[in-house]
Amino acid sequence: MEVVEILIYVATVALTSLLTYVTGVDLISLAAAALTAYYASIGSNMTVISAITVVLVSIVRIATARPVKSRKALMVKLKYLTTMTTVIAIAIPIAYISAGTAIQLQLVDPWPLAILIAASLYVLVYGLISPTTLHLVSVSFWDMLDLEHVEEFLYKSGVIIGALAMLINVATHGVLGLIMMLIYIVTLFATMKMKLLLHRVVVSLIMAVTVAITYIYGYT
Amino acid sequence: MLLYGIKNVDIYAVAVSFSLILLIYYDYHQAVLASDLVEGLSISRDAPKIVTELEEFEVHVIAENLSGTDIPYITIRDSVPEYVEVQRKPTASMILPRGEAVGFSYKIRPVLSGSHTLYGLTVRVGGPLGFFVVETELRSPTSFTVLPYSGGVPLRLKSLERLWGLIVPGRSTGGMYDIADLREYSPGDDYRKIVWKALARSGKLYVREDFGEVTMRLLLMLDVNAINWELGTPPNTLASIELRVLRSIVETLAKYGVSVDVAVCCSATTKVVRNATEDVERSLVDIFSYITPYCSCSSPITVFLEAPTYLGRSVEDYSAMLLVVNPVAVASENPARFLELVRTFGRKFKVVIPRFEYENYIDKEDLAKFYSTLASLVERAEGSVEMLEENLTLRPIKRG
Repeated sequence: MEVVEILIYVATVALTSLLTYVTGVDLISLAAAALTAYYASIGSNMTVISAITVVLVSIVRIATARPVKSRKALMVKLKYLTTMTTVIAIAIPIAYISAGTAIQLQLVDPWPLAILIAASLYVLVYGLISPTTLHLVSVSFWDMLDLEHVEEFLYKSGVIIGALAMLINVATHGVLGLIMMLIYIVTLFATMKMKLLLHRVVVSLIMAVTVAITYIYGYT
Repeated sequence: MLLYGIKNVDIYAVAVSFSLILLIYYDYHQAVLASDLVEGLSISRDAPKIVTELEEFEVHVIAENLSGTDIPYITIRDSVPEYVEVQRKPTASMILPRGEAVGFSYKIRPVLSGSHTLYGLTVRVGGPLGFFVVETELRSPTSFTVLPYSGGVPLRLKSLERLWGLIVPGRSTGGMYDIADLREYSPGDDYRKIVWKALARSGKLYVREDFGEVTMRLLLMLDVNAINWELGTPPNTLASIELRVLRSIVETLAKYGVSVDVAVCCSATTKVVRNATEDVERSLVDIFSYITPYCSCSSPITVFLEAPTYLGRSVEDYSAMLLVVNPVAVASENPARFLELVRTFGRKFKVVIPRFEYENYIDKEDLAKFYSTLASLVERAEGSVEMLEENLTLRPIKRG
């Protein structure tokens, strides 16, 4: 972590804070996001700090929004804050486990598999949350967690990340990747026809396991 | 960041980037939901209808979420018209729970009198993180009338007394001395009109008002042109001072019970108010709600010839016709038209020139020549010209 990197960070945050105050438009988050990308490109440890800034600014933004004293508004604020925390709490371990598992398998190219495992886990968690949400959504605590939205974007994220992994496979492994992508598409269509949420999870797991086996078979 | 994590086999970076992607997606999802709810929003303003020039007052903006879903983040920015000084930012960011009404307020101070309108509201809704926002312009006009300043300026225009010699404290024009009413003494009242018996009875000073003391009917005319707003700086533009003169004259004459009809030209049409001194406040609001900052009379000065007709009266019904005007406006007017006005109103015609720093805009010698020419023109028709001595300028605004 070099002094110049820290200075860039401080100057950017100070300048955008001033501009945000003058214009009334939140520019800190955007600037911090851009900084994150920059630090990532140069491999700096400031990447994590600027990423945390993005989240922190949002938290402060929500916390300071009017009305400050209304109980109902406070509950809504808590809902968004806890949702954000839940997302982070779910996403980071999943990504970590996925990447860790893929690397431990000692594949030639572990990342498509890591992404795929993450996608499958997202969908799996979504599947586990869904039935709970149906029963507990009326309870104010669960309502506050906004689990309905958490599960929805977990599912969508899983599908999108899965598609990304499949595209990488096609680019890197040719025919084998194409076969896996076809399996993935068929699985998706199959799940869309299913009414029970749990079926989607089962199919997604089958998909993940199939792809993992294909990888191990092809590259170990 | 994700690519960096993958390239460098950095599990932490990959994990953080995954969570950020999820958060951004969540914000996008919430922003899309919120944008659909804008139509279910009810946004209104609450502001006083009548204020005085330079008076600081609060505008409340209230947003009500009539939909069944919470709006995660909403920023409302009010558009404040020109010539209104904003004391506090007219914007606020809020969280709007379903079925709830949330508001904010800001302070403004109008620097020009007349009718002002707050028009559009910029509504920006988005996700709780603020990455995605949808901006909408809502039309919600709220008007308020700004009366010219009167507190602190000499309401009792001494110049008027000299002008037609009718309002002289203690003297009855009709020669009758029957008491019409008693009212409490106010500074400036003639001590000779104090009713000492009333003082002995109540311990308070009362002055008498006699029948016949006030018998005048006056037509007060004001011609506002665009250039009047350009001379001087707000709040002391020439137009502002003319409007203060108008209010001061109406209030002064109302005090003496003089019946005053008002005709103001500040657009293509002329605004007339019959017997403005009967209900002064209502009449003033009526007059000044017609005037907008930087309005301009697009008719020639002869438009006032029709004013008595608009008011359902004739020239003969008036004791005096008082035109508040400035040298710049008269100089830019066609002389033939001005002469027509002078000739028609004859000896009843009185020209009132407000006190202003004309020397800053017109050469002193030219100004002197102008006054002399104007006086000779008007006096030839037995009218008169009066230059008000009262200084109706206000102190510059201090921010804070």
